[in-house]
Amino acid sequence: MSADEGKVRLVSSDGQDFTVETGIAKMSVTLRSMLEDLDPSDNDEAIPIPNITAPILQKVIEYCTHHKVNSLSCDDRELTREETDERRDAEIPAWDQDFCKVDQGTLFELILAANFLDVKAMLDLTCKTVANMIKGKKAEEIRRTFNIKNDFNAEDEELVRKENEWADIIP
Amino acid sequence: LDLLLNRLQQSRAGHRLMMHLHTTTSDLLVTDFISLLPDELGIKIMSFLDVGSLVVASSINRHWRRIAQTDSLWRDLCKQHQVEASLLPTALATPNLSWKQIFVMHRRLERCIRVEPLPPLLMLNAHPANVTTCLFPLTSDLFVSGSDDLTLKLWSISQLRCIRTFVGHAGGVWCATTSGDLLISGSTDRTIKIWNSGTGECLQTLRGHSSTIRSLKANETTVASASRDATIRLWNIETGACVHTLVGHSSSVRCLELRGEYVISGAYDAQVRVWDITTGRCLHVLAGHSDRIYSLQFDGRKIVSGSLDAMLMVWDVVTGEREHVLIGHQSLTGSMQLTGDFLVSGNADHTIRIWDIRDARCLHILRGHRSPVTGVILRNGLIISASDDGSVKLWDFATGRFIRDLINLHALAHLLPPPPEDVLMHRVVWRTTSCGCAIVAAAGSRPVGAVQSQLLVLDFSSLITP
Repeated sequence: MSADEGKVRLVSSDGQDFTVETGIAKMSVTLRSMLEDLDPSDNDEAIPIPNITAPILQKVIEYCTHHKVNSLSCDDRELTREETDERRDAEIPAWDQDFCKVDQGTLFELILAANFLDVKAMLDLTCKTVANMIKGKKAEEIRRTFNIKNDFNAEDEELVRKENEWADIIP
Repeated sequence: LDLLLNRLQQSRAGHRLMMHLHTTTSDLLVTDFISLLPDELGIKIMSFLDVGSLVVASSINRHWRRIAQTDSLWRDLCKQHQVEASLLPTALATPNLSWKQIFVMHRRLERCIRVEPLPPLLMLNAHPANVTTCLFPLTSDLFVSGSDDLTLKLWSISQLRCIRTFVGHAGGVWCATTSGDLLISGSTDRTIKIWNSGTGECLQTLRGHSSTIRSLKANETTVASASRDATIRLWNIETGACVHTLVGHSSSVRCLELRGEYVISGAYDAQVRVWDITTGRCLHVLAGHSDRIYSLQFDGRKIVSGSLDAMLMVWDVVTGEREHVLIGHQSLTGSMQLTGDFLVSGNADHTIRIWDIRDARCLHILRGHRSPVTGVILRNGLIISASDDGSVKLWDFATGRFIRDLINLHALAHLLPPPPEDVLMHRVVWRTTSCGCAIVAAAGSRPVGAVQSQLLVLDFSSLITP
């Protein structure tokens, strides 16, 4: 799969056209299998992406372009346990951090898009970004951060308190 | 839009309006990811959380609680924290237990060992007036002791009794190990015996060594034995046939490790050797120590050797190169444990040290024992150490801080069998191990035989039941 094997046209849900290198599009497992099913003689067939809007698709392409250039191969193999742990604990690289500096609504759409298009590294990145917004916060801060209503009644509260008692034991 | 913004920017009221819009719209743009995303993506987000944050997440609202309880999240955390269901006694490890419950029970156990009042010390009369030479767990309820009284014994913690004695050796048992349900023992009678641990039947007697067996290690197919006759032998566990005799050391072979394709041996000739388990060929001779080797650790990549020259050395198994010399101990390291990049060494200089084997740095020196350290074990982020001073001490692995005495034979003297009147002796702990939710120590005396040797059991299981 070489980068110069051609280009492909993607159409966002709101009808905007994006022309991207096939190699970049193929970082999405979903697009890769669609492209493999495509008639090779028909070079100009556009691929509709029915549930992703233009601004979000633009961001996905931006992500894939950056990581295509910055990695030699498209790495979507299953990770070992240790690699998963490392990935969990590792700092997010600066470019990726900047990429995720968007409002929560956009981040939400990016997660859905990464999931639908099956771009594993991007899904990890966006989910981890949300996890970092949760990490180390108190319950009230988390509710404020995500505008969450506490729907526990007194009985639930007591149950939850009991359930989590053990966790306070070690500082 | 540009025009509108431009206009707004020009007046103070416009600016206020924009500020107001900014606050209200950013509130509206706030998204409850966990509740709005499909469950599997909520779970994915939570898979990046640490234990504490996951617990907080479970207290946000009903939906968050349900996602945060997902079994696979807790299964992964258990793996990450090396929490094994098999470490819990069978009575507690019911099939209905969720991974979260298992995790919580392990945390409770850790708390019990650290700070709760200790459970009553249970005592078992072990091998009358003899040294307990080996002590290790077989299951979460059963453990094995071996002695120079020629026997091995199998003990049940829940039943608090010896449930089987393995009789057959004509000399003291000085080493033992397991492979599945098999118990394998080595003796001064120069033989190795393979026993059915369930029935007590001796299945094989392996003959060939011309002197005492000093160390045994086994995997599913092979038993490796080290002997005072300066050789190592590899045996087929099924047939009992000697497959290879590894010749090269020039004196007594004291310790062994076996993992993957490698057998590692340490000997009184000050050498460590790396052998190929299949061909029996010697791959490396690791020379550097200036005195007898007594202890080894091997994790598949790195070898650590402990010698009477007071040094610890770190070697690479593939290249055979020496990577580091750990300097600091004043005497022999008799017992050590390698965990990831860290080594815990129990030394005859009365201290325990924690090292980073990547750069040979000594991270902590654990001072408190008043006599040589006879054993160290690691469990739940804790270090448990036994010593000739008659105590079993508890330390924090991360900080090296002393936590408390788990057993102190001097403080317990009134509960223990008294020595004969005119005998000068002191009480010692020869070995310690952990088995299920219990910590077991083998106690005796110096001089040996002044008092009945005992197995002391601290069983925490009743304290952690949900």
